[in-house]
Amino acid sequence: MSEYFFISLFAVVALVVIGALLVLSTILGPRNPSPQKLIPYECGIIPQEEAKGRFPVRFATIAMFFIIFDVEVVFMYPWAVALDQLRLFGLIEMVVFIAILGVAYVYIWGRGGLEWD
Amino acid sequence: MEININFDDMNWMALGPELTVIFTALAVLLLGLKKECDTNRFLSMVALAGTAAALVFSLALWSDAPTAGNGASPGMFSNALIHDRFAQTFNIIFLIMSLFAFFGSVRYPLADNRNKAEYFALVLLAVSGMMFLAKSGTLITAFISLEIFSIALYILCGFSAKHGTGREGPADGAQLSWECLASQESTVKYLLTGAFASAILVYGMALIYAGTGTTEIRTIGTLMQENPYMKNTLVFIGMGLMFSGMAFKVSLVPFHSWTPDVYQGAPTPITGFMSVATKAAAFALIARVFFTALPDIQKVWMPILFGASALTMLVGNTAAIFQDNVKRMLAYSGVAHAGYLLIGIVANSEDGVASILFYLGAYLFMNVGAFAVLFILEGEGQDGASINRFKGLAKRNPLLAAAMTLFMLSLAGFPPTAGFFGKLFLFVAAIKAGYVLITIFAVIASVISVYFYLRVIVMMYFHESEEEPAPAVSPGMGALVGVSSLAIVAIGLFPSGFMQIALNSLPF
Repeated sequence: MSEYFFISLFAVVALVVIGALLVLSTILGPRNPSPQKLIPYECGIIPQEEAKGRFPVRFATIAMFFIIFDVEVVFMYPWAVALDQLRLFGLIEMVVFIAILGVAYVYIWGRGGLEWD
Repeated sequence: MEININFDDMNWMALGPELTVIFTALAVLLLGLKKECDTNRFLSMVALAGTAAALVFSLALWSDAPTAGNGASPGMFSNALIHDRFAQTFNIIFLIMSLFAFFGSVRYPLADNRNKAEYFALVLLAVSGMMFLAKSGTLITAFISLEIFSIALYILCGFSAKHGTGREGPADGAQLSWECLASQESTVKYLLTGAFASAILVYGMALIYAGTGTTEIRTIGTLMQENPYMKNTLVFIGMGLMFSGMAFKVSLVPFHSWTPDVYQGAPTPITGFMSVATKAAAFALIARVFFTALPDIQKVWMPILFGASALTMLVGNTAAIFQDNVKRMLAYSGVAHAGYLLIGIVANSEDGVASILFYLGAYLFMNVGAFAVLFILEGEGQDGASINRFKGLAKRNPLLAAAMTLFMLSLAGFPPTAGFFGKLFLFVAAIKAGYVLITIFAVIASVISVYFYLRVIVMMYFHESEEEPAPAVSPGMGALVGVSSLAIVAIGLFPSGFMQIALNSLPF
């Protein structure tokens, strides 16, 4: 039980100290807002435009390529290690798996997913 | 390490319908790449051919499939999948439901959508996920197949949205049509809430695995009966979490709040498809897990199942009264119907599960029909699915109005229709199991529901239309309306025959 007492004591002290600091700084601190102070902080660089603009979502295509090329290989490693026991059946399974991913590859290729304009 | 592959129970024939659907989906994707094939008309023909083949396959497999009665062995692929009549019956439900999404292609995907093939491929893949869910023998296959169809549906919900080229400025946002924005809202809401539900579901599965040491649904069932130590707290909590996750998928109160927004924003063919198919798929899993694996500890959760069912029926039907948009009204009516279906799980008997199957069969045709009529009448924009579109339909197209009357009466549960017998069998199963109170709640809820179902009929017959011409009926949708009406009348005339089929396809 005593361990819980010290942990809760620690939690209470932490909350009181943080709360007191926040309250004191709001009450005592001076506030002189100016346009320069109110712009969002971006690593010290002056922001060029609003952060709410739209930007192209190329991630979807990248994610698809990632699945086709990288995840495929992740599955191949354990398969390659155990191929001597899986034999012909394992080989056929892997061919079917790659063929299905191949359909996806052909599809995004045909849709122009590889053209990067 | 020695790897043993069991070649004996690889029953590829039993997977025929699933494989047909998957390979059709891949073929549709590849065909969509050719310019002259990339039309809604051609792609829907290919998808329909695949669906029809899978349907024939399922019907052929149905009679010889193992059941609890005929003693054949149900496990296949090292018990990862179960081959039984229960699963085949659900296959048929999913495949018929997907027809609605394909016939809807007279309007969706839009003519300027560049990814038409994806629509058909995703519907087919969603169907294959649902088919595997109804077949799943372990919690892992169940979760994977649940994700397959959920992810496909997240994308499909957003299919009315315009695909941006990435070069638009912020100013272009204002020009997006209402459909586009609603569809985006629908897909994002469904994705976020659905991801939460999946996380809760898989947490429940993990706890059940921790408590029992196996993920095989049937093995969990036998362990529960043989070993009293298996009924431990981990399994109880795991079951509650699994139920919450699945309650989200079938939109039981209090997990229902996503339903109206998602249903309203999604393209109507997808809304109709989701309304029955996801519900059926999730109930297949609920029936398997609760009826097969955990029948004993279900008693612990009975008060909660009971409360969820009563609350769902009352809240769903009451909220539907206030909807002027028929799509939203049907969404709330779907919430209420999930409550009715849960009565079969509460009853926890063979009769209960059989009446769930019967009710899903009846609900399939009522909902296909109602959504098909809505699809025919639907117009553009936010008020496109308003109940005012039904005004004076009896004069503009008497046949369509008569069919819609039949669907509404059946959904409300009036005597000569399929909906009445569906409710009757559920209530009888509940009373046999000693749950009279829930039957009283269900009857009260049904009485409430009569108001908003009849409101549509009143609109069609007793209001004058506002100078609108007769709606154009596409052949596919017309056929669906006709077949659904016939099916509702047939089920209503011979309920005992269909109930016998349901009793013959109980899960293991």
